[in-house]
Amino acid sequence: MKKMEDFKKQFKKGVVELVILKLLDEKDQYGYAIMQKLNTRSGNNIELKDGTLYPILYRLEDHKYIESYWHTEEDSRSKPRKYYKITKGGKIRFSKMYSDYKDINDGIKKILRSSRGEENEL
Amino acid sequence: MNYSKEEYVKIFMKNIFASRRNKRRIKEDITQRIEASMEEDPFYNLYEQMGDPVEVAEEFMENLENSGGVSVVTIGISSSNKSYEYKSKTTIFGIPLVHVNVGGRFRTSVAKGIVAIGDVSIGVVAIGGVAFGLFTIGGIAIGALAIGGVAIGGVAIGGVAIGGIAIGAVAIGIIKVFGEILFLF
Repeated sequence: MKKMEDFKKQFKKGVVELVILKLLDEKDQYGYAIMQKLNTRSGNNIELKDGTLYPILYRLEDHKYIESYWHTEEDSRSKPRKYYKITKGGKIRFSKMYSDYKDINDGIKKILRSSRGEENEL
Repeated sequence: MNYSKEEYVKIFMKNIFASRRNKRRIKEDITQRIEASMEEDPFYNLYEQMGDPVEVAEEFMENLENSGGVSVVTIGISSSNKSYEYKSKTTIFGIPLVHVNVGGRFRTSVAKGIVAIGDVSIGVVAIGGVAFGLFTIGGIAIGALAIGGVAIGGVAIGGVAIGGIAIGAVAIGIIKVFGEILFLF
């Protein structure tokens, strides 16, 4: 069971940057909102903890794929929040990652659906 | 168990070892994250929902390190993430008989005791990354009898040994036992 959890964790690590960029491509968001949206929109299949999300955001920010700014929502009594915004470079990065992801996903599907018989025919 | 926002952030930040810039943005983000969750639910239990602040910080550090975001220099004898401390109840002149204090990967901890084992250790018998005392063993050992990578003392045994009696590949001393490069006072 532990090994299966490790597999999920490793797999998630590989794709989480992609889904964060996707969410930021839709709308500027603050950290906690990103975490909540990842959980709800993935049907709780991609649950991110604080210790995972923020270091990824910092890495993306350091590579200039995203930027941060402070903003207080109008007509709100809430405190200013640090929003993250995708940059032009981030959008390019996202497109490339998404394209790579689709290629890999197609490849995996083909392998998992193929049978030994098909292999022998080749 | 529950913590106030201030308590949680304080414990959490105590376990974050990163550059000043990273520390600043981590503190900003974790504070704001707590505030956002508390705005939604005033009874939000930080310990239950977010986890133990020390463990959350450790996870942060692990992922920061993987992202290349950790820039701390440590003297350590432990490669584990977690720190460990033991202090014996028995004391001699107010000094613990045994003090073990190792800081994990990101922290340099100091052990002070009659027998001291730590990243930096100070004691009658001291073992550590850097060890000071009467009888010392360490990466750098300074003492009456010092054994280490670099050993400085009355009797020094080490890769580089400096002392009254110096035994080492490089030995500097009044009496040198052997050494490739020798200096005699």
